[in-house]
Amino acid sequence: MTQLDISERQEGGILVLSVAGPINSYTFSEFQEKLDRATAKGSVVIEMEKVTTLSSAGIGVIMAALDDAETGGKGLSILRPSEIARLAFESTGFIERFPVISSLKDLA
Amino acid sequence: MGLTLLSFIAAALLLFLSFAASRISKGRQSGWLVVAMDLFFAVFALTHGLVDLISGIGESTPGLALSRIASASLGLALCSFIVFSLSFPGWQGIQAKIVAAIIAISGIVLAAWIIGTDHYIALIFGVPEGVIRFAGDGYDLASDLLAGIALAAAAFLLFRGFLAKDRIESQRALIVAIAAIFGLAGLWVLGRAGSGIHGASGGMQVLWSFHLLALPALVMAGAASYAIGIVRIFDWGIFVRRLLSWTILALLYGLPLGAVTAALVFTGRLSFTIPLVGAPLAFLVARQLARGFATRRLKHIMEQEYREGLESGLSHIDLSAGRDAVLAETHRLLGSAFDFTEFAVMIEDGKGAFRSIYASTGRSAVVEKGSKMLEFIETMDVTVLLKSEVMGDPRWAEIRPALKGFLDLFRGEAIVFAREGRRIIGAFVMGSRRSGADYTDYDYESFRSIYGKLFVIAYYLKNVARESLVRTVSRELALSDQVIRFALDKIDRIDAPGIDTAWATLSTHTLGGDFVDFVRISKTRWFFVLGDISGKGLSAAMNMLILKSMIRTFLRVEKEFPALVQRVNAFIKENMPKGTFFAGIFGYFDVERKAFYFINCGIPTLLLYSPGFDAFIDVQGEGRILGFVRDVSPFLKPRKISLPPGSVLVSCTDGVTESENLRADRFGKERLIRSVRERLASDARTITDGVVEDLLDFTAGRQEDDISLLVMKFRQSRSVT
Repeated sequence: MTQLDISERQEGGILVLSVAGPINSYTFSEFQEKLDRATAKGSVVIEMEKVTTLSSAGIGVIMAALDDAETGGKGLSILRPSEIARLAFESTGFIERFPVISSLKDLA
Repeated sequence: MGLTLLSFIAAALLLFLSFAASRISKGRQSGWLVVAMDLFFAVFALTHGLVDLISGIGESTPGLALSRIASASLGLALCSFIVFSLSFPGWQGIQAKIVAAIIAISGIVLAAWIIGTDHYIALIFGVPEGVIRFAGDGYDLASDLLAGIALAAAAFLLFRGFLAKDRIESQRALIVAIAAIFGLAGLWVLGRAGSGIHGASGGMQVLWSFHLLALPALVMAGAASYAIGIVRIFDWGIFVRRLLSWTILALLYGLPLGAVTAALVFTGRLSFTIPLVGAPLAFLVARQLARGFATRRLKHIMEQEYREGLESGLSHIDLSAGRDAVLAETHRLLGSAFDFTEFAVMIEDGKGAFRSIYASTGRSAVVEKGSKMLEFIETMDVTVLLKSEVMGDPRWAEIRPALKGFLDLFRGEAIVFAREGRRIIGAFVMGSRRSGADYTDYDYESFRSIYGKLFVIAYYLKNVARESLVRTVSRELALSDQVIRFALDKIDRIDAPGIDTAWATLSTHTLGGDFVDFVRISKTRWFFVLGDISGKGLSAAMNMLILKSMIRTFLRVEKEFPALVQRVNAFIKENMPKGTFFAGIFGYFDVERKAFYFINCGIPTLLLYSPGFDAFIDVQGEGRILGFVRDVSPFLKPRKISLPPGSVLVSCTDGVTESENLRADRFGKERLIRSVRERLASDARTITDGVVEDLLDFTAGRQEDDISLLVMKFRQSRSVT
């Protein structure tokens, strides 16, 4: 899969941004734009189960969103990251700072 | 003894203040009076404390002599203060000198009278509880007279502070005067409290108030020493807001802590010793926690909020819109945030001269290469300079007229210099504020916080101004050439015999944030950095350039390895666009010791080929990227590896190991090792080119991420010296 597919849905009053495909130097701008738009509305969950690549540009987008969420007092969580995405988070050395959840119920 | 200790602590602090004031006051009129005042106060505090120590039981002659020296020193310190107040901000004509001379002579006469007669202090008498001072018949009159004159001088200074047109002078006068009024009141109350008791009525009471006399002196000396060094307007609004915030926070944890401690002591569950040690420790821990909380949660309450909006605005300036649009937008954003109208930009023209490329006043200026002003500024390690500093700080005296003329030309009140190491590449001149208010120290900090953004703009403007090419072809491509050439030109290649070094950097967008850099520290030591700045294209390349420049700047001032890395971390976190981070490695090669010291900051691969084992060893260990957390110090782990002859060091960014082929297989470390091993007998250049070739073959020429690869061979045949 070379295309990034991002869709939005509301689940139990939570905005879920479902991301599938590679987040790399060619696609991170689209990811950033949609994530910015979503976080402007309120708390967001990024579903990353089908992410096939997560480059440093993509991690930077998520780091910036985490900063904004913390500053704005909003919530931002990462739902079921793929193995590739999890390894990318681990590579930062700060895996514990990424709010990873396995189910939306974890937010309750 | 407990309270006597206060005098010695105060004496040490006063000595320190006099030393600091002597350094600050160089070139400042009246500054030496503050040094003299601090010194006299220090002698006062020291001798005052010694009286208690050396006086035995009964009448004490040495105690009496020291007590009189203490009082004489206090008198001389107050005389210094009076002269300082009357002559502030500088000597003003012959009349001031005459008045100063009269006061100085009076002070000396007063000191001689105190030391040589019984009229001021008649007797010192030691008792088991401490020392009793018996005042002479002139004590009350002399004390009241001296304190009264000093208070009048402070009031005079206060009055002049309100009237002064120069805001810096006004601020200095007000700070000294207010502190002096409180200090003198304290001295008078504490001194007088004693005189009535051990005067004629002669009660045998040991006076605690005498032990505290050094504290008001410390307040006066501290305020005066601080005030003479002020070169920027103090933002009282911000100060009050911060003070209130910290006071509320301190009360929030201090009151409960105090209440619990008191309850435990008074209910007998604790002895006095435990809270004496434990309470301050608990207070400090609670303070640290509250501070962290405040920094995270209350930042917007404690700070003005324009800074963040400005940073964001500058980050989003569209550099592809063209030079004029970039300049106009920069002017609009800065003018709106700092409330000024006039704005000018000077850029280095590639030949060392500075030319104005934008000036709202319509005027133009050229500062020629080699001009005294330019050379002087380059020797000063400043990025932000306010006009108030130019006018008030003696360090700028040498070029003050030229710099003032330059600022006046553009009606400027503040300058931000964009620098590459010591060299200046551009200057942003900000005009006076519409409200007429001066730039404060808070604005100064704001300018510093947007420095990284302004550097990017200056760098862009410098290259656009120089390369007409970019007007007709893709700006990004033209700039990439500039950026890469600059980056490569600056590398201090390792030229030690026995070390063969080669590297490669490839970017997906022609431009990228990957880079390798070597800086020669000494004949046998090189600093080294390899890594990847997040982001892509022009913005990543610009960030790479800024970071490279800042690392070289930090290297000049920071000698501690972990502290250097923390500085870089803080710079990324605070000055670069949100979400920016650096994943790489910092290290020092010590050629003489055949050792490599490094800190892994998120580098995925650092392999060492060991000829002894004929194997590649993963040596990078754990690492943390820079720019994620504000303080990365606790996570930094410096390591050392030995580099025996025949060993090969290979390091690369994730773009190498994580590149995928069409079947989504990763290149990985195994293929990297295989690729290097096949060429172990070749030189470093051949190995590097070979690995890149293998990688591109593997991905069928497709590249999805920036790549950096470094290979260093330590030759077997020759010793490394």
